[in-house]
Amino acid sequence: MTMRRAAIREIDLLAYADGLLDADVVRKEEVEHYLATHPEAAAYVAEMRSQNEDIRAHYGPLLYEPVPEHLVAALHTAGRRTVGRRLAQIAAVVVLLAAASLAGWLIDQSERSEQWGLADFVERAAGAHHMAVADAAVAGGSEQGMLQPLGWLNQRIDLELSAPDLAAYGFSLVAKERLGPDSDPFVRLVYQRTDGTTINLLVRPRWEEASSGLGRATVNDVSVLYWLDGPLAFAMTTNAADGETEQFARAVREAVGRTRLNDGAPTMARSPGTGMAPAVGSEPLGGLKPLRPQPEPRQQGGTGVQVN
Amino acid sequence: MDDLKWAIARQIPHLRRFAFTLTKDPTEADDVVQDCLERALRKRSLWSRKGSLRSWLFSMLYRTHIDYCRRQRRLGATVGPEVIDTAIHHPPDQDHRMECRDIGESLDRLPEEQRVVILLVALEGVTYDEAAEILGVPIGTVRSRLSRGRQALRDLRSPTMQHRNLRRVK
Repeated sequence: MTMRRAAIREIDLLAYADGLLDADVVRKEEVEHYLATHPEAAAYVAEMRSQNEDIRAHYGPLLYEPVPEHLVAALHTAGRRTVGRRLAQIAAVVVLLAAASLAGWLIDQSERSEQWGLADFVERAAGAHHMAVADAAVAGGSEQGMLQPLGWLNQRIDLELSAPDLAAYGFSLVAKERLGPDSDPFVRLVYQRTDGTTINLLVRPRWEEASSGLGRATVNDVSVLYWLDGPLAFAMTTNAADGETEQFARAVREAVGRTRLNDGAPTMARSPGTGMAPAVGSEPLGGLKPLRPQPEPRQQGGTGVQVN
Repeated sequence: MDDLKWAIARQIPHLRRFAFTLTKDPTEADDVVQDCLERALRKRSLWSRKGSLRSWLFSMLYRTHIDYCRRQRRLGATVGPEVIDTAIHHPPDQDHRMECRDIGESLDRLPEEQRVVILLVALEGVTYDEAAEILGVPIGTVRSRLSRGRQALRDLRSPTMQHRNLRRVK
């Protein structure tokens, strides 16, 4: 018996018009059969193809314009320019610090060129401290729901990241969820201990490679520990006693430090069921596995992430 | 020049075109591309050779463009007359060119979020998944923007098309 596939929708017609069904022969044939019996849909597809041809005709010639020399040169001189830029940035910072002490707008100027706001992230971590865990993300929810947030994170910056194991401190991971707007999303991991102690760990991707030491900030009476680790930023809040807080943060960082490179294994987000991180609760010891960018060829076989 | 630089250099024409469709200004487009190239080299270790280099570069270029826009907003920059789509300077004496001018003008009237998705798919030939990755949005968002943008493009172009057909009959 042949399995009946989903009805043809507008997105199928668009994908067909855009030539994206070539790899799905069965679906392509279904769409073609549908078009043969639905003239309006066929006209729609023809118009979409016409749009595509017009767009290519309009912008196509731009590809053949000569490339300005300074763009090619940028590939050769980027390193030198970076040094120059950094010097200029240092000089600018000195000037800004002096000005800020007078004008008091240091915070606004602390934004990095990439618009990445550490202060915002720390504020969000403080805001998430009392936030209830979304039902779908709580342990016991669907496996897919539990894995998606980290899968998304891994795909976004091409890492292989699974949740750090804090079992040595009596904590179990009870939720993973993706929070924040599409423009600035992050992942929240929630750990709980039988005595009611909770740890909120927020992880956010960023396009930087530098790391930082452990920092602490207090926002609305919530103490937030934060640190930068290459392409990831971490912020942690907990209701544990003060003495334990830094200990837990260091435990997470230590897990990062124990990571090893996973040469060539598929990222967990790529294909559910194959190569994905195990579900919560079944995660092997080792906590965070590879937590660093994919190595360049010359770096293969290197050690784990450098954590200060 | 190493392999990666060589591969990136081959993408410059595509980057320039994508940047132009975003900025509509050739000079600003080249500035964005230059920043993108420098950023790509600084962050080359973040690129996994498993994926498409063009998608990775497009993603970086799009972020660079967003940074430019934010910076301009902070500085209170206004759009000058030179930013007006250069397509309007195309001579309108040929049907083909007129058609192209129509599509350029119509695209410029779309919200940027819809225009970018359409251009990535129709012009650069990226898949919906790649477009989602480049723009940093869920694939469902890409689909809905594409659908709404395509429909808006139809609506924008249909009066002109009818007008041209009338002229042809005459």
